[in-house]
Amino acid sequence: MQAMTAADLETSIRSDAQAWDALPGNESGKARALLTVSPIRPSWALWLRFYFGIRAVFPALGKLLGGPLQRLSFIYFGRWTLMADPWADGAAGRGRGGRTYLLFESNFTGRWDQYIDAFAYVLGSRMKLIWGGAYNFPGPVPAEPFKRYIRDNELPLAHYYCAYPHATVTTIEYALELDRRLDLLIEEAAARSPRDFAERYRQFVGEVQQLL
Amino acid sequence: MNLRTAVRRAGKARYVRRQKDRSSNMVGGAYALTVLTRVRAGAEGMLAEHLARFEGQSPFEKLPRTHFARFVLVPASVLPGGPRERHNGLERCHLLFSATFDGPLERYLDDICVSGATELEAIWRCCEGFPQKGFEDMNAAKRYVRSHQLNTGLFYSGYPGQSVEHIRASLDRRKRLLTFVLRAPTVETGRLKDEFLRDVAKRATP
Repeated sequence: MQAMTAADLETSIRSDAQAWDALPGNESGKARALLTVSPIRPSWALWLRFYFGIRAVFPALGKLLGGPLQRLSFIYFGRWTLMADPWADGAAGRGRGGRTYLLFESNFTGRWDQYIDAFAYVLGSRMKLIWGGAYNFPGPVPAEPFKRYIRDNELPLAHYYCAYPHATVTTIEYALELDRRLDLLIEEAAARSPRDFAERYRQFVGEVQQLL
Repeated sequence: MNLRTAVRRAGKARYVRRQKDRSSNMVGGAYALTVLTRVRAGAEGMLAEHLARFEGQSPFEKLPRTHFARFVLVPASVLPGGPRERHNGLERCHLLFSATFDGPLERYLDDICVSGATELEAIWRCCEGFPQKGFEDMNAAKRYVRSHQLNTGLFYSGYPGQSVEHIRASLDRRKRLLTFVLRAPTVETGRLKDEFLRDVAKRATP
């Protein structure tokens, strides 16, 4: 395969700016990856360092963002990371001087545009706590400028791996709950006769039908 | 190196390791690792070729505690305000590696070094400062990763506290139960318990 140059990479990102779906390569089975790199104002970098620091000391504050995210049943994992200008002096990502960037990484299922819509709708004004000081951030609504902002700051992945590519987040949640209930049924089985168990089994299947 | 310096260095190393394992990088047992390294001048093409080979088989399959992993090439020009540094006409890139795995970090780095994931070594050999002996010098390789690590600000997990092993086992069990549910109407009532315990109860071994 011909190696991709930085120029090819940039062209592929920009030419894809009109399409509202995951970038090619940002998929592994049902899992989709998103990575955005947003330049932020220096004062905003200070705020985020403070906010992230406070969150680390008082994890209960996580509910402010984590609570609404729990309602989005299609996110496997998500994270925000501050990256200092990697072209400034010093170790990559921690150099002094230059801009600071906010990395946002997400692993999700479903369509890219639906993900962005739901994300903006559920987090709403809370997103301003994170991206409020990013250059050109249009706010979460209306949706189209926000999608364009995300797409403009998005990078394609050179490699993406998911350990369970055929499972959506909902499937995982169902499987984990089913596993817990199966353990209880198996515990019960020891004390039941075959005829008793057959009856309990049929009842069990009715109870867990929505998890199958 | 005198004793005082050695003790001070050991203390500092321990402090750095603790910082890397601090709560912002971890949620419910899952660890978020982000590593940013600068690609060696002229090694961009080789790096892209190495990464393209992963399409057939990912090296992370050898690291069973990995939930998700990604490699991203970050050329300067895609970052607004980034300088246009070039080498032989090619723009200088950084390599971003990020992984979400069952922590702690130290154990995962050990896994990387001993798993035989030589493909990962080949990737980092394209980056500046990677130790000459590669994963053979485990401590130097781990120090390299840690020294290029970016701490996570916020980390969210959709299913905190669940390991890759448990998730895979649960998915497998759900599949076996589904198969059994479809077959159950043909099973004699007196044999249902035994067959259920045989087909569904057992957990898959990783």
